[in-house]
Amino acid sequence: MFFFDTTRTTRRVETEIPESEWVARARMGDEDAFVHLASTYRPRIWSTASRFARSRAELEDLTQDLLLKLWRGLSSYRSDAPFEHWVMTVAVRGCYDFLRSNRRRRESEAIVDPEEHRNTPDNEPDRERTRREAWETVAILLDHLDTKDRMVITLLDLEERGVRETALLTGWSETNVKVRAHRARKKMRNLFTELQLDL
Amino acid sequence: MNHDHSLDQLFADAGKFSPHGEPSHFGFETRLRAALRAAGRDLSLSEWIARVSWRFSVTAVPLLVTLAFAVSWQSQSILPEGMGDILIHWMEFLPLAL
Repeated sequence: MFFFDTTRTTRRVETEIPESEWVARARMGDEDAFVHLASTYRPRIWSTASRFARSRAELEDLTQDLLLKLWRGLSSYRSDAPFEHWVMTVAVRGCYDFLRSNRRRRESEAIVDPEEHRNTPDNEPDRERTRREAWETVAILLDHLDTKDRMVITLLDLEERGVRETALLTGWSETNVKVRAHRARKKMRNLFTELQLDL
Repeated sequence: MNHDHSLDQLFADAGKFSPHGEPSHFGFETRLRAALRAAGRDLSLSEWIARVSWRFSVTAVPLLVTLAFAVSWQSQSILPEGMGDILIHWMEFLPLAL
């Protein structure tokens, strides 16, 4: 039987188009081009946003909102800067707005989503369990920080971005980022001792 | 106990953990396209007012208060008589050749 392998052909054509072309098309209002870009950058946006959402459903909504922000803001993108940097700037600032606007509601909620906690597998590998427990401890400490400090610690210490990159993404000065990081770590250390959290 | 070291280790371990797992591709494109279409439609008048009213108030109210204060301060020695005089007095501030 003879048939065409259309998947391979399409994939080859898509990879041949440079990103700048996809961006230019999306800026002209091409929905397909934007969906292509969104598929490419969604995992990175998801990874950053996952530090701020309380549940998977909230994370899905937040990621969707951030993608819509990108779509609406495409006209403000200047092609002299890397597109990835612009995407992450919009995402980080969107996460900051999300944290700020949801702060009061979040304070009254449980720290760990009980639904997700129940789904923790019994046969979880030791390394993964250590990481999960570390995250749960960090999440408790982060909840005691103000929004800007939380943002700085997340970008610097959890995502391991540099001071300069964090400053560019947030729009705050490098000095501000350093001072906030120092102050936030000190507060976390004190809280860590105060709560006698077990490592 | 070195807390800095503990905190660094904690950050290193926590940074490698994905709190909500990996994103699912199922239905992603459909939901995104629907959201793009909803975002692309024109806003109704009430939606437009709801969107701008907060920002408009924050910008306009201080400006209007300052302007009213400045005009009152400037004209505090002038006491217009009757509604006609008040209207004429205030119309002088309009940049129109009346």
